[in-house]
Amino acid sequence: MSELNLTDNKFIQFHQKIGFKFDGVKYYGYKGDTIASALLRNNLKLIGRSFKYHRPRGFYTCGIEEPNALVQIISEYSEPNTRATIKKIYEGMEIESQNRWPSLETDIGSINNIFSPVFPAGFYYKTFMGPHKNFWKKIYEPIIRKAAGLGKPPKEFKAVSTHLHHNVDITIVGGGLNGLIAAKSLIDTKYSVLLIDFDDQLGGILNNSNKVLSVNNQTPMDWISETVKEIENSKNIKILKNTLVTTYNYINHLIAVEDKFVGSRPLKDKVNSTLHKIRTDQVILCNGHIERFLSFQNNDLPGIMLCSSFEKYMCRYGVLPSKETVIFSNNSNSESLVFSLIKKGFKPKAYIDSRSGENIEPDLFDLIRKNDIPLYTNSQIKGAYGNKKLQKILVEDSSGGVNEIKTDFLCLSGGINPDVHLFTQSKGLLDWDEKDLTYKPAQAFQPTITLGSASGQFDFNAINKEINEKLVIFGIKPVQIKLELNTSHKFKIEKLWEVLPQKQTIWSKSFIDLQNDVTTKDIRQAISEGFDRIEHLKRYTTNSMGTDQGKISSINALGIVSDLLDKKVNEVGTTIYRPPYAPLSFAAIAGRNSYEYYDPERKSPIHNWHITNGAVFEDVVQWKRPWYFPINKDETMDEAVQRESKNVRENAGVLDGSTLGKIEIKGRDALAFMNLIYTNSFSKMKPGTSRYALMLGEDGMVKDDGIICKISDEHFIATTTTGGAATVLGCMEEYAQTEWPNLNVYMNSITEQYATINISGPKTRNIIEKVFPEVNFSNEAFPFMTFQFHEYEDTPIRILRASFTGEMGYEIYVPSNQALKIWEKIISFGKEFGLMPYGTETMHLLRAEKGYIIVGQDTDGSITPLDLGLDWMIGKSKKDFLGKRSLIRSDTVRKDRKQLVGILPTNKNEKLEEGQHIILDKEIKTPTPMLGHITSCYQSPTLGHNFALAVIKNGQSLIGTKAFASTPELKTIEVEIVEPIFYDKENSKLAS
Amino acid sequence: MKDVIRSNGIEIKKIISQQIVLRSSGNSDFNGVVNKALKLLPPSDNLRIVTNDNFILAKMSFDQWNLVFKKDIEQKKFHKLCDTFNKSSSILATNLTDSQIFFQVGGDNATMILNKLTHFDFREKSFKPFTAAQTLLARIDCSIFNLDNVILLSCGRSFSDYLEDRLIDAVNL
Amino acid sequence: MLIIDCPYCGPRDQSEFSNGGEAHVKRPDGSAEIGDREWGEYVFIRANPKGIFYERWVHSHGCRKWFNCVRDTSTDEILKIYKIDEERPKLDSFKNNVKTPSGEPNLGSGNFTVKK
Repeated sequence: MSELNLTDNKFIQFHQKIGFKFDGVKYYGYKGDTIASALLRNNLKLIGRSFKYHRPRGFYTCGIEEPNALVQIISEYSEPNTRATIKKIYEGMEIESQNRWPSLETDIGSINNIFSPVFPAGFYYKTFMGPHKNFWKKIYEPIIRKAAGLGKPPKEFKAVSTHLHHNVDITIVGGGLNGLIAAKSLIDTKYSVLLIDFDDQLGGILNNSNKVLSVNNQTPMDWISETVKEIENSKNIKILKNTLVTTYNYINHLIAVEDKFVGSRPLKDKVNSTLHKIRTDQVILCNGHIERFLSFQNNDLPGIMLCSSFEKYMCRYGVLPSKETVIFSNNSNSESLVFSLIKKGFKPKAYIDSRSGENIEPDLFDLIRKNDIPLYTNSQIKGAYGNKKLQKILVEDSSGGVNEIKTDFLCLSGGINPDVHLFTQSKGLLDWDEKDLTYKPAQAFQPTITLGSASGQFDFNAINKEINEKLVIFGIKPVQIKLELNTSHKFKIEKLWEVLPQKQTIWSKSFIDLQNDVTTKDIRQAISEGFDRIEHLKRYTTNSMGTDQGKISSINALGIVSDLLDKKVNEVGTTIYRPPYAPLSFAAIAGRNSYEYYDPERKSPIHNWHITNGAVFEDVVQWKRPWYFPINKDETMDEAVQRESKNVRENAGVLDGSTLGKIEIKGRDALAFMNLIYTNSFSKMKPGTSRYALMLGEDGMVKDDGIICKISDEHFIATTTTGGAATVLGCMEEYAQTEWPNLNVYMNSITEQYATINISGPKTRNIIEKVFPEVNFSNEAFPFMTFQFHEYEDTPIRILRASFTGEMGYEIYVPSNQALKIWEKIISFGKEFGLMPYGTETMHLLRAEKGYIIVGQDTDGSITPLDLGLDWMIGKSKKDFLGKRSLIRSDTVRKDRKQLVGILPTNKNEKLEEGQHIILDKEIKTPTPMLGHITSCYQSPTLGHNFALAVIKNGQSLIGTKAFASTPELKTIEVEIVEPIFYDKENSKLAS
Repeated sequence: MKDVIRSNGIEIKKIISQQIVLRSSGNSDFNGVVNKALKLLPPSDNLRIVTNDNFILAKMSFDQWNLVFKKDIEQKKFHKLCDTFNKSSSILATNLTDSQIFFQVGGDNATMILNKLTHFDFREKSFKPFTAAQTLLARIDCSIFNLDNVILLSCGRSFSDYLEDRLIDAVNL
Repeated sequence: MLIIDCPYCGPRDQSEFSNGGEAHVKRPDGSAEIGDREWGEYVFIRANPKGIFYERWVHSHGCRKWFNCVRDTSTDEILKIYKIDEERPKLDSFKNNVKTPSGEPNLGSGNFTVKK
């Protein structure tokens, strides 16, 4: 198909053709190709438009460091910002270029390039300031957002991802030469080992270049397959391929993402990616190095690529990006590319080196001379030129003369950096190496070992020594690896960060960050404006703030800054590399904790009955609670609640209260303990009685409420609110352990052990007597606020006479496994008396009529018992209880605190709403002083109109006066402030 | 006992077992009461499990022992046993039979699949046979008992449908 | 995520624990003799230093036991874990003591990347 194919490649399956679409045009690649290698095979070099200036861009690299080649994968829920240099193609894949309109070739946004002189560093900060503060939000930002940027977020998105936790002894990051040797030496040791590599082929540099000709007298390929087989056969080492370590947290906690569909279309409902969460005792970083680029005029043109990437396309993907390329380098890393090209029968169009002839490796020098390759030593590229692709370069030679070379391709090498991102994430420190001109790991903070080029060890001949020294802590046998190299084993480099252009115009651009379109001019400007600290400079210019985090360029920026400031690079420092190493999807992070498993669901033992009987559910914390029970599909919530409420007041209703928290408390000092936890005093309470109780925070604010049943001085059962169950138990445990460890007291949560069935209404007694005929429910035998233990068909149950509705009522506590049976019995026995189930909404309405509060609705953490008018619940004679002292703080005794009151609209046809503010003035003038707000509001079927509870300033003394409720339409409704009780003020019903 | 799933090298069964949770300081009185009632001396090491033909008795926390019944006993006898423990005012014995659901998990891939749901370190050096632990699994509180050949997992009853779904999901995905 | 060595259960993932703020804050009894200031400080005021800090943790999704620990808040290193009834360890017994004026140790704070 293409003359650019190197068909002897072992990784690409040239017999398996794959068709895919890029911007609507069909292309063919082969099994094993990335999008980039397949498009290069088709001689396509323009892949996208840049972020800010919409400049045409091509493939700059052959890996994860790629700044330019980000594409949108239409066939995968329109996944944006995918790196074309790592994403493998599959049959039918649809790809689109990003950030261009109407097309990649003709992009209207590229007009930004012409206006670029007005977009300097800090442009947005300086420009979009006026004329009015709304201009930013309403005009500037929407326009900028539309013009700038990366891909489009997918609209419909449902990727499946799982998490997998690992606990291992040793984790090796990177399965290249060093990673494989390290893993091999750990075979059949006592350690559990995880070997992680991002590629689907282990081998790293051995696959990506021709630097190593043989390993232990085997071809690299043979050595790799033999070594991998040995590792795979071992019992203690697990290999994760296609897995990228993105994060290195404290205590050797690594996060890695595995792509489960490399080179094939992700299947729906199958796991697309796995997020590995790895806890390990020791990390061995063998994640190699990254080549840097160089800055000169128009160093972003399509057709410019890094040297080692070019070689990787040849060796790893069997494609020649160009048959005639010019090479420009300042270091020895380019040698291998020259070697590889010549080996394949090609040769560079020219070789340009900033070093002088005697500093160039003699092998390289000879190779170039022998093959008649035009050689420019002591020379630099002043600029690259072309329309949407590279067409020519200008070279300044050692004599100062400028030569024009026509070429469509240029390979660059500006040096190499150990890939220190993970090492710095682990909080290890770097040190600048003046000889190799790069930052290298210097001091680890965690148990981290770095090997090979990841540790800054660029000398292949030192491999045995380094591994044997650093892995000696594992007691492994010393390794002896023999390598045959094609290039000089020592890395050599001469300083060069930027070549200044021949002629500087306002349109000249030498890029320092390709993804964010930052130029060296922006760096200079930032420094001249005083942003000379590297972290400030980064944020001001956005240098290295793209999704590639400046992997090929951030060190160059440091070099330029250090020269400008005349400081050592170590003094300039680096910015902090933060996780993740490369972007990962939210789907991977969320894992299965999404959609149906977004939050764990709790169900009452009677749940299935509610479903069968058509309940509409409400989420209360994690519980699913019946909200109301519509009798048919036409009944609205309002209608259902009015009907249910009326029925409880006239006949009887039954509520599933199983979600209430229940705590059993026992111990020799249980009484003393309960007296300390709750505001009430339980000392004089008789066994078998119960009491409504309040729990405060130490700040005196109401935290929870419930009913306390006293079995004896040594044994209590407390109920809590549904939402407060865990907090209350936690609080009791905390105080028992930390403040009063001398008290002998124990507690168990019995929330889930017992279902709670609440029956209330005037006909309750008729029903309950029928269900439990052996129990005497008369007022004398079973008074209000007492409880009794009984047996029901061998099941021990507890019946508490209490009410949250204002009607006479009982709460029946039944072991959960028997709950459904008893519930159904109550329902069937109650039918003749008009018993109906009711939900939480009716419960809220009924309790509000009676003036009973809901903690968290009528209180908000700033309300004391005194504010609620519940002074009677405070055991004043008690020396201490949680929050007692706070009740006499100057703030809590203030007169103008917000206090609970009732609210009634003067005109009974008016409707109030929760959250409405109560104000004094009929006309709303801004600002209007607010008295407080409505916390609960319902339409009462009994009263026939709206009523509300509210907390308002100095409310208790305002009872009997008029005020106004404000509506969202800025109208007001006249209201009366009344006592917070609307039903049975005499409490005659409770004890009837 | 109900089969939940058997696939991919893991077998999960759902069990309702009688269970009593005991709270105490663990003094000699407590040991005496328990030993007399169960013919089993409560473990004093935290997280240690002792068993006999009838019971699994695990020390789950500094003041907590879980007593799981291997086979159900008659209701009357069970409540009598609870009462025996509760006679002492410094012991709290709570019947939590209806409060928790057990999942018996076995098979070669058991821990690997459980590690899709929990960070817990199941390696033998960290989680020895006949020890127990309380941890988070699928973001809910669970107790796990390592009975050497099989893992017993328990969660609150209200979460059991959720956990069952998550376990099946983890096995299938 | 830290690994926290629960004194009862051994090393476990941080997700099983909850932080309880500063340790060794004595609760005055709630009686009226306690002044507003003293009580107010107990309720509202907690230290939050950069550097070595005595703090409380609870193994809330495990054994539910409270315990104390000494943690360097600038590096996250847990230097010592001790039971609630144990004596607090002395500050100078920790080698990773705060040295720089801003309380920044040379290694581990994550605020420096380069060896000085």
